[in-house]
Amino acid sequence: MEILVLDESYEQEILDLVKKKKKFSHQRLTDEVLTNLQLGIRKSLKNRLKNRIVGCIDDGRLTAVVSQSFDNNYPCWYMDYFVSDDNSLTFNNGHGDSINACLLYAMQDAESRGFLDIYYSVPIQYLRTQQKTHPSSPAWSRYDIHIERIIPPNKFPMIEIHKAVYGSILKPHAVVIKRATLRDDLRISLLENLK
Amino acid sequence: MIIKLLDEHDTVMIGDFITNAKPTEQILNADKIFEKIISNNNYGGFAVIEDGKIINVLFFRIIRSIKAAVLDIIWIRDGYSFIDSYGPEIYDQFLEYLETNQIWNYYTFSEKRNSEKFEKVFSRLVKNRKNYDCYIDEVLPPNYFSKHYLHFWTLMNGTLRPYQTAIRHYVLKQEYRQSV
Repeated sequence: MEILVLDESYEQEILDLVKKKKKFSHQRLTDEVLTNLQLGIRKSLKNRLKNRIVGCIDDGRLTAVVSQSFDNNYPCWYMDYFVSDDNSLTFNNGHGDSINACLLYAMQDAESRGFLDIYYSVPIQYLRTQQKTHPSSPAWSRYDIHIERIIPPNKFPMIEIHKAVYGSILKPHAVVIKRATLRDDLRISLLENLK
Repeated sequence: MIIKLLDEHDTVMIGDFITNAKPTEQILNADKIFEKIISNNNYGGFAVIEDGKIINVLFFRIIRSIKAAVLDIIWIRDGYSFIDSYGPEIYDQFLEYLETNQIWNYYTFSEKRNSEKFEKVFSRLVKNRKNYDCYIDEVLPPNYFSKHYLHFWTLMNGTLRPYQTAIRHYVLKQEYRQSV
């Protein structure tokens, strides 16, 4: 298993990974969703400083991706989406090894540069599942997680950073905006070594 | 004694206060901050008023794009101490203001990462401090700017300090968030 920041050559493989899913962020994979996603993927693969996609390659095959965007005004990053070809949540480690490995890489690399908070959004239907899987996830268990806001169905958020994690497509379901903050006990040695 | 959110009607009182506040390295900027309070809704201040004069002031600013606040500075009338002149009450008003406006995060700074002096004052200052978790976001060496704007603002627009500073980030615990 290898974790790396993906470049433009992975565009089709990422799209293929997404297309395997019937739904993306609790929405049917319509042409509109796919077009928007493709635009976002291109931007991330090209830029790779402000936005990037961390991928997991297993047996020469892309098995999971995490999209990561940095905000230099605030010491935080936001997760636009993650996709894994592992559908099962029964491993007692969240969404499986591939996604956890991507998340750990994304988090630890961000932490080494002083980005200690993460914003992300989930459909409200997944809230309880995440509350069960996060504590046993090697990536998420390192963070304290708070609900920042619940955005009602068919409404865009009002706050800039919430807009960024919500995305550009209006959702027919309520969306929970979360903020994960690296536990303070894990910051001590980290802060001393920051560049 | 009353505690009030400052507005343009307090110009005369704040002028009197500024001339009588403890001289600090920032006092020269006090009138500029007050100008911002009355002309810009991203800035605010709470004042303790006794016998028609301001005893102390807590200034803050709201960072709307992430719905957070920065505790800018606390000023005290010369001859008074903050703790003994309604400091805890003014701090409570500030936190209540944040919570009413659904602002769950605020930032401030202290000297050093583990500042005993800060902890001692803070424990007397904030009655409901257990409602908040504290995280140290960044430790800056003496005379060093932060590369993150939020931390830069937290150090009063990047005022250089000749000692180590720690950027403190306070997060209201989930169970105390009245509504999300």
